[in-house]
Amino acid sequence: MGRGLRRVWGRVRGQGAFGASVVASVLIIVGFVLFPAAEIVARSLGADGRAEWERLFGASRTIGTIRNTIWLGVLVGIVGTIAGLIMALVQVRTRFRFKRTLHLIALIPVISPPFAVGMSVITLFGRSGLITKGLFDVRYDIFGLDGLLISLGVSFMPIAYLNFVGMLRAFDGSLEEAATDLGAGLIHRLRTVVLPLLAPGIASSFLLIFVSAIADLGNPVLLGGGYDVLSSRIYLAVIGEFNNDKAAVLAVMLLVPSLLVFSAQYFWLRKREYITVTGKPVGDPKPFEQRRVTWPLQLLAVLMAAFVVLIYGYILVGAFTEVWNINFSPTLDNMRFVLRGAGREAVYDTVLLALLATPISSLAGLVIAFVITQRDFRGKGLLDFASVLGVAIPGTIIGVGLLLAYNAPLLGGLIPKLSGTAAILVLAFTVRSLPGVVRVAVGALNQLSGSLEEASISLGATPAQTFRKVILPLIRPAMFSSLVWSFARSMTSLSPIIFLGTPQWRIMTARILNEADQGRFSNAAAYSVVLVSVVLAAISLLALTTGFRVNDEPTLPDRSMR
Amino acid sequence: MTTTTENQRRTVDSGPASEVVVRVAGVQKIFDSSRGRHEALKSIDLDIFDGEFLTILGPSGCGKTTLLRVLAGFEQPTRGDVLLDGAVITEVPPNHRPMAMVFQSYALFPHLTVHDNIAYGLKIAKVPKAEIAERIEVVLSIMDLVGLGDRLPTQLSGGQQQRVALARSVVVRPRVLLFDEPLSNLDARLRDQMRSELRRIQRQLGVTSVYVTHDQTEAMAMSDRIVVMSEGHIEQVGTPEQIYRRPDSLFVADFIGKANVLPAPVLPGGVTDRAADRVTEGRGPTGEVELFGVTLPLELSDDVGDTATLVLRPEDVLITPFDSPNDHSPVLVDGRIEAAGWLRASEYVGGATHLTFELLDGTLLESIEYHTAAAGPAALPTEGAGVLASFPTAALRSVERRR
Repeated sequence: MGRGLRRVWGRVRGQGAFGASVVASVLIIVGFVLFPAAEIVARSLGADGRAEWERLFGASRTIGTIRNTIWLGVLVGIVGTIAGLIMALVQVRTRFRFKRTLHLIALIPVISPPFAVGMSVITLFGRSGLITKGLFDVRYDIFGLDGLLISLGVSFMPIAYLNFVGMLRAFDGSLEEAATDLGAGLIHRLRTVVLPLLAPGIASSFLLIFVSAIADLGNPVLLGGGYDVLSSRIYLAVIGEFNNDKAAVLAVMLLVPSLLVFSAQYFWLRKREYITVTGKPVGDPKPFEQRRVTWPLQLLAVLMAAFVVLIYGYILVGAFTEVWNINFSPTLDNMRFVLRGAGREAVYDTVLLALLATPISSLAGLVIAFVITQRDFRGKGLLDFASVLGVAIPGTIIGVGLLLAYNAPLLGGLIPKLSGTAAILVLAFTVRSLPGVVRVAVGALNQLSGSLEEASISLGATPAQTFRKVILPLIRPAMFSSLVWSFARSMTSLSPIIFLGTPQWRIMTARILNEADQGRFSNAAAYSVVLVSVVLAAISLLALTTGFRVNDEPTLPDRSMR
Repeated sequence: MTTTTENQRRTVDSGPASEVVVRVAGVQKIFDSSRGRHEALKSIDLDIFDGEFLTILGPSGCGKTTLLRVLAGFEQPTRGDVLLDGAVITEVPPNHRPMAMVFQSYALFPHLTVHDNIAYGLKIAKVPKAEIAERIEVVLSIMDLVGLGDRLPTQLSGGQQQRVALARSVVVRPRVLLFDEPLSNLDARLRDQMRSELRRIQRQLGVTSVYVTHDQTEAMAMSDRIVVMSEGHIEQVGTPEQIYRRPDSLFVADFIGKANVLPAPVLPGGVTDRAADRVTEGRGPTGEVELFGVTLPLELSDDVGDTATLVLRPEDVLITPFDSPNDHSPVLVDGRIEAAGWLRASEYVGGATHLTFELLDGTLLESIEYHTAAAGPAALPTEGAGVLASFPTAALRSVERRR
């Protein structure tokens, strides 16, 4: 180990600016992911924390909360995985005419805050919902598991969708042709060849959605009703009860299943996915021809897409009417409130902070990815895992952790008190979008043949020159898409920053939740519309200037946890 | 290339007379991974001479690419040293070594034009602009790439890409050129063409070259010397003819060309001049062996025990029709052994026919008969016919039976 470390250090030292960025990236992960998480664990094990453990485990409510949380994760995982699989099958394996539209619709949830869906679900299906009350005249109580299932299912379906699209595209068609040659019919083929090969992807999608669902904060707060989950109770402990010890204990309870499930996906399934679907694709997989297969698939996909459009469309309606779902007179007041009035600051602050975080996470992510993909590097597996922890650990926990860890000056004042400053918000954004950037960059770098780098070095270039002149130009497209992605992610994230917001720095997602909480749904809708518009504008700007296409949307298996 | 000296231009016929450029001294390479420990190189010693074209030949997994990468500096040896012009360069990073590598995948930078690809190393070395232009022009014409400077690599054919890769490496005037199976991605015809092309250019530039391949024909056709490797060690170093005609080990004889392998008992008390008390280097002990019942004096391999392993190239075996093989025991006539048998299989491959026949004692022997327009396959005996095989005892080579 000693020799290995010395070598790594030798490499780092010899590379100037590059070495510095490696150190900085590692510091970001250690300082703003690992340290806050450790702080939570430490806090929960302190004297007050231990008392909270006893108190909480003595209460039957706690057991119920844990059960609720797991149950919610499982159900959302099942719903989201099935929905994503159907959408992906239609996308890759049918000749459906409106495939492209379906693709865009399936991606809408990626660029909107999940709890925007929650608001729409309430107004559509709640006690006075447009559909439940208006159409069927039933007073349906949507608050609880059913409402959460709908909104989280819609929100996290894209995780599975993108996962499956990638897998199905990489599927070696000759396997199926071989099965056909051996006399297998379509159904038989699906059952014996396609599904078994997709099994790791199915499991992986399920687990990632599970982790995302139990981490979500906005929806449980908004429409959980009496259905307690851990994230909403952490929120209440911090915001309502000012009991940080209790929050820390609840956070550990949430951290354990999250890390277990995420690790299972990371260490076990991720590898299998690559083993089962390897080799060069022999052209695009052939579309299904049998109508008895394509019709039901397309019908389901269209229904789901229509549902997504209904939900987001209704947000649009809410943003431009007097009182969402009650008074439908068109008005621009809500938009005026967001763009000109009290909301202006929040829009400005959020965009500014997200813009600050984007280059930081892009640069750090690129550097980490570069280090990870270096061939002989001891401990790179550890760095890789650490770099994705930013999403493996629920945002609520990152948020509480940052709050606890940086509530006072550290290292004898070397690090000032960060909570309450813009810096900690930028850092929260950064660590949350970092894993996605790392994944995108690792994917892009892995596609580069290692001999390109060696060729450059063999011709006399230093590693830094090689990086600048060969590698960077070649992975530029991937980097652009990760820029967009990390910006979108920062703009839409709620859970890590809700505890960190200050009067000086207002964050849109937190304002949306606040407005919705106070019943001003139309204002919340207007905020959401503005937020999504900003993200869309950023994507378009980049598309215009660089030729980035929406298709290049990184097929991230870990978009999750706001 | 304008400064190529007379010394570099000369074709090297190997031997200690030439100046040693690269010395590999006791290099060992162990890969430690989660799947275990793998000793890719087991204490390699090798001298590479100025201007020579040295090929490292061996089956996949023999360590040949690892050795090349150790020379390039991409792998650090676990033990041992690499010397360049007498100076130890083991710790020198690859970008500071005056060597350039040509890769199997060519590794052309896809975002740069042919011109910029070739200029890459020169710009890194901060060569003045005017000189860069001049040197690129020269190399483009040597490589037959004139007019392609503005193309992107994807707009080139495989052979052109290959030449750009070579141009990019030679233009920086490396002390040593390293080739990692550069022809294996080309189709058969182009490969043959590029093979002689590459050799022509190497001769013209006189640059010391180390070439890794698993293709024995490539190695035979291009090299001044060949290093045959197996399982992390060197089996033999020699000129193509030495490797083919005087293989040291069964592995070498078997890996290069076809070989009949004949076990022959060593007659007791016959072995003299063991390695220990040898005066002349390069000669083995001599002794008497028995082959097909005939007693022969023979130079033997160093490790010889009760039985010598003899190899015999198929083209050394001549066959003639023979009516009554049953009555004919093998005899030694005028330095040739004659043995009778039956033709068992005959395979016409165009320019030649591969024949397999069975001797009286059941030994299978292969022979190859080359054809001309005048002497076609029709003149050969048919399968099942009696034949008389004969070969010169001088063609027998006693080899070491390692592993």
